[in-house]
Amino acid sequence: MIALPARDSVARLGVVGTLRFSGRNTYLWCGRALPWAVRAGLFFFLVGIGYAAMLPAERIQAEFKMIALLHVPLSWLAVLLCISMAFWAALGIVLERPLAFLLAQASAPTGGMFAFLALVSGGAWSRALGGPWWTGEIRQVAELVLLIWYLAIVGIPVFVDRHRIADRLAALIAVIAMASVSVLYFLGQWIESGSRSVGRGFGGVGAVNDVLLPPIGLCALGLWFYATVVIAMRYRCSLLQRYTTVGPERGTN
Amino acid sequence: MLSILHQVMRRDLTLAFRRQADVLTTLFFFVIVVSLFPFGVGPESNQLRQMAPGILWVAAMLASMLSLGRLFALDHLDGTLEQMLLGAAPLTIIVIAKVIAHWLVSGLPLVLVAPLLGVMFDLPGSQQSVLFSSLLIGTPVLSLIGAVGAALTLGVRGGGVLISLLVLPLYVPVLIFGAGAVGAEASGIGAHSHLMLLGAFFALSSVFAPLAAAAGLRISLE
Repeated sequence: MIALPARDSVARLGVVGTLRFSGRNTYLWCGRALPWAVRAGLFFFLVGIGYAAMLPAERIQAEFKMIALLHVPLSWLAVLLCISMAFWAALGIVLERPLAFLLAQASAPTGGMFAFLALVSGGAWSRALGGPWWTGEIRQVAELVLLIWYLAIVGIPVFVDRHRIADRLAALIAVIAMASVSVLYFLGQWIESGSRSVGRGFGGVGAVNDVLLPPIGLCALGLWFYATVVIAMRYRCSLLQRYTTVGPERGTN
Repeated sequence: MLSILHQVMRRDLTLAFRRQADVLTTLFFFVIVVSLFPFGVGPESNQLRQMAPGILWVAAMLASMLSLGRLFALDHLDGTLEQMLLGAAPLTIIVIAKVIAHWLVSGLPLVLVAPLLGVMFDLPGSQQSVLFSSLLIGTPVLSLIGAVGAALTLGVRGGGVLISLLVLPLYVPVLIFGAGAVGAEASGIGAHSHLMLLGAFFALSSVFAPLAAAAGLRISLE
């Protein structure tokens, strides 16, 4: 292939930076917004926990434990991050925006952590109710499958050297992961439509009643702020990694 | 278009029969893994009968994961795959032909041998036939999904690890319903719904997997 310089290689970011595709604007805006997002996230999460702690005991069902305030938002967010990752990946493939690929890859490690923590907290929840760690429900199986997908997407740039190919491969896997997760979601709905399973992870017809929705929702909002902050920080770092040049300022690279 | 399918299938089958070591590796791996389980678990026949579908399905999955490297890598090494990409034939058709040839060579022998291995686990006749049909519908799905994984990890060092990471999440529903079909037959519910779902997976993957594999090949072969 003739080596025409790709548009993204013409970019530079420095103190006086010019970055194609407005990466510079995103970088600076994130820098200003992140501290507020951290405070908002902490606020919502603590309010959610406080709300649930102050609910009168007779209005809560016996199957609810405080760890559900962690487990349900984690599993919701793991799926939400998968959807957003697939969205950015599809945008990158269709519109040929390299920054969209970067954002998709930045979401992957956070999603993986959330999927793993959702598995662990879900096991702890069923353990607290006297059951085993791994119940074999389709919901838990789907969380494990989600974790493996995230591992695959994080693993591709590790194994593939050229970042143009690695970006596109990771994006394709993200789209396939989205399809696979949708299949598992609807399968889970079908399988669990008869039983009353514990918990309101994605897909399940939960045994958690409506009184508990506000605190769970607030905790989910707080966790969403946390996820956004971490992903934005990772995105900024990968922007710097890929698009800064070391050396004297020049015209075009 | 059918002639392209025919040509590529014939080429792949000829190559596979000339290199019999690859073909027989899959089959022998399957037989050996399944045969080791009764020794490890103990001879109690109730336990063996319950575990048999799970063991046979997992061994079939592992054997097909072993043979996936052969799907595109050999053609990639001698440059034929690039010629196929540059040619006028739609890449999807070529992928379908390769997958059919791959299944005939590594999936079908597993299906044919499975009833013999079922005898070792003392499976009754009705469960044997359900096992056979679930493997018959399921192994093409394994080959199709494996083609997507093989296309995405072409030319990646350490590709074996990455293939299993990519392909396992997609294999899990097939495994659940394939092994569950025999379990449902054993408990009297009947395997009908499980086999129907397996057929649905087959239909879905036969449409989307060649598309995804062709896209992956184009990306990997830039």
